[in-house]
Amino acid sequence: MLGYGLVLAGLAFAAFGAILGLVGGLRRTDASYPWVLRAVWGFAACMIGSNLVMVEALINHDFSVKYVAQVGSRATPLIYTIVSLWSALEGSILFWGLIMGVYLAAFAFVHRREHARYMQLALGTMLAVGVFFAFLIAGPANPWGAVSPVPADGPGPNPLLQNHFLMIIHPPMLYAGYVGMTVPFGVAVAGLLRGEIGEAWMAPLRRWTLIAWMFLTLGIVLGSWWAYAVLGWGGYWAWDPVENASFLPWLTATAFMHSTMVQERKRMLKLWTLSLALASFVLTILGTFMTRSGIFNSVHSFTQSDIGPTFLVFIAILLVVCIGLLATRGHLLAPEGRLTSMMSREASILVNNLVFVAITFTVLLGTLYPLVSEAVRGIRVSVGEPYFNKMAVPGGIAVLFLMGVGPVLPWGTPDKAAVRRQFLIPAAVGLVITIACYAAGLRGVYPLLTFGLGGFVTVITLRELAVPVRVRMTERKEGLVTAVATATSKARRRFGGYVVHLGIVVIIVAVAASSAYVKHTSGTLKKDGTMMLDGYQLKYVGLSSGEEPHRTFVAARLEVTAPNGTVSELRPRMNYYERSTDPVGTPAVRESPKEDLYVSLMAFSETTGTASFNVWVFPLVGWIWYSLPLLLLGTLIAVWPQRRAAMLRADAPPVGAAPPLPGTDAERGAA
Amino acid sequence: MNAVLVSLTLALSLATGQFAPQQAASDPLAPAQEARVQQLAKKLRCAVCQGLSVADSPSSMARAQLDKVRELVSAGKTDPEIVDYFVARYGEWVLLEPRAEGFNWFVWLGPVALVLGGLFVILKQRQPLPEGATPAEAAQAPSPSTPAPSTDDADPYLQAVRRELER
Repeated sequence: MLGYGLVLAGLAFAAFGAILGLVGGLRRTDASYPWVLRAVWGFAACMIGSNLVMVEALINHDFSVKYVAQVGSRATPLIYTIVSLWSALEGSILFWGLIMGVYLAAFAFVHRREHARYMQLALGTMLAVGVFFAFLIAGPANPWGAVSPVPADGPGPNPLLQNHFLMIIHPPMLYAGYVGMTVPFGVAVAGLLRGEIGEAWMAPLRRWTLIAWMFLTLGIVLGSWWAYAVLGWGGYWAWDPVENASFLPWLTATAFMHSTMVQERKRMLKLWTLSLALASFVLTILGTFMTRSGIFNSVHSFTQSDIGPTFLVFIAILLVVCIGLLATRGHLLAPEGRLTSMMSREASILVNNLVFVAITFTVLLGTLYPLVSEAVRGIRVSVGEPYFNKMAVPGGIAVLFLMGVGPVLPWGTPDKAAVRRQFLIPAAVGLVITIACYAAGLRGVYPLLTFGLGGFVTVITLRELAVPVRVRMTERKEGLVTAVATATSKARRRFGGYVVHLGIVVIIVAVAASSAYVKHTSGTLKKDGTMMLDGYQLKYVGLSSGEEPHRTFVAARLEVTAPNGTVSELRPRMNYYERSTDPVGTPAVRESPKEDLYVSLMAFSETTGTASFNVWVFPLVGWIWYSLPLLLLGTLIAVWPQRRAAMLRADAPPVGAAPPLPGTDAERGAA
Repeated sequence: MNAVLVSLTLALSLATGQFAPQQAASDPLAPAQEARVQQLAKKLRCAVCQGLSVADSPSSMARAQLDKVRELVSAGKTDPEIVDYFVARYGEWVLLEPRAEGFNWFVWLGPVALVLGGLFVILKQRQPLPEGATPAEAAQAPSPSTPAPSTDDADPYLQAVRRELER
């Protein structure tokens, strides 16, 4: 079969390139570099080709292919047929291969003129990871097996996955985030193998981590949106193992992005920063293992199989390699700067890293503890939402607080009086917001603290964004647009970082408000009966049913009168797929910036004319996903390539100097 | 063609309610009691779901369990009694939050120990400048040519912005 042949060829290319790259790089010869590049192109081409063959088989309903027989169906609409490429384990691993091929080719292309020995080591490491995935596709998770006799039709993809358009974009984003961590991993390993990592190599490390981080962020937020819109239990985050698995590398990558600033400015934390880059990758693999091996139950685990052992071996190798490298090469990355004051930017970033690592550890511990408990005590326990909420809320508040404090504190040893003056206005604003919320009747320590800190951080961040623009306008007489454009382009990472901070503040405030002030009721209504919740009146009008190509549905029609008097109709429904006996509910949501009214149909009976509903009102919940443009914009500003000249200047390292070159301050202080 | 027929019959049987989940949950209790019910249900794991609580899960099993909680609450049972009832029935696994006792302390205190240890390490990293050394900020004072307005010249960030303008 062509597809399988391409996978085997990809495996061969990856193995060839990995051996050549690592050996050549360690032997310090440049001769093999062109061949490593060719292996990268070959690997990428094979992976792309193999995916195209699979998509073609899906579209043509070629049920002789095992994977198509597993997830294909003639009744499924075209778009969901294509999307079913990643709706089950084998296909999604194949899709990983595609993304990995594209990442490797992009990295190799962008940096092809860089130092050949570094590139060989970096590409060799990435191709070694490619060997693992190609091996998975070729062996334990092979989608290409032949089916005989050829079935006339298949069952179609998992109903939950063809319920919502978000399933078309959420998984690719998440996978792009996961797989993207391979690139920083390769760069970091190359640096450790060489025993030095100069500023010229920190820049690509940062940039590629940021790219992976962006996709991971989008994937996580879109995933929570999908859970909210599809699963029908009124939540967007359940601290489920699959969600935790995506959250873990996000946390370490975020910590990396912050510690790299200290590394850049103060020549400290080199080893620590590299450890975070390595950890982000190991956690993506661990997360994949946790969610794909079937050792955990999860609302998202549509795919379980026997790829566990392969993953365990790979994780063991990764851990040995990472720890070995850090232990043997660590002394070459000795810190040159030092921490002089606890009221400095670097101290705040150290605390930031501690908080992120603590959250990572907590989430990992909570996720793995059921296994630990069963192994040690022989008792099955659960660690769920109440535990994680209790532990993570203080962490989230600490993060919020640091987002406000960090940007104000200067590097080095600050002048305490000046720092105090700068905190005055933001702190006052935060206090006023807290008092106003309290006066408006809101109660609860955590939410009020969150709102106050949210105001505090917003004022500080906006000020940091506005100051350069204002200075340019008053002292350079630039127009507003020019000033914004030049200020942004002079300090992209700083600007982008602050825009992302604003997005994160929006998310944290929305999470706090929607979970602290949620209203919930449930009940069974007779026809024309009504129920009330938080000013909304819901009247049950009747049932309607209908048919779509791949499913039939029953919807309950509810006439909703909002507190402001507008009347609309909501239709929470239950979908019936041929493949599954249980109906899959689709909640109905009346969205508004202020709050969402969320209705799930729980049960209905035609004979008694009743229907049961679960109804929630979530204040501000939509802002969790409305923050996406801010996050995307901020990351794009930060990641956009600077002009070559600017990059060279920023890359020129002030060797061993703790106070950096004046003039690069604003650029280097990117938060 | 066959598929269309199948789905048509399916639709018809749906309309008669044949496949619909039949048992609706019991109605909420009085507000004070219902608040207790929801609070308890948040801590109990739905027996057939994947990590969702009895309060959150839409499955019929969870609704049966929720009804049981309501029944026990309205029978005047205290919260610990109700929790014990479920633990006796389903094992410790039914609690979404491990009890803080014995080996479970590990999962509660581990993160706290990490934070304390980390803070200790960070504090130990501090090496104040020797006496008489100028703070880094003073060393980075703007060059004389910088036109420094008097209002906020103590602001290091503004100074950084101005230095950047010089380029």
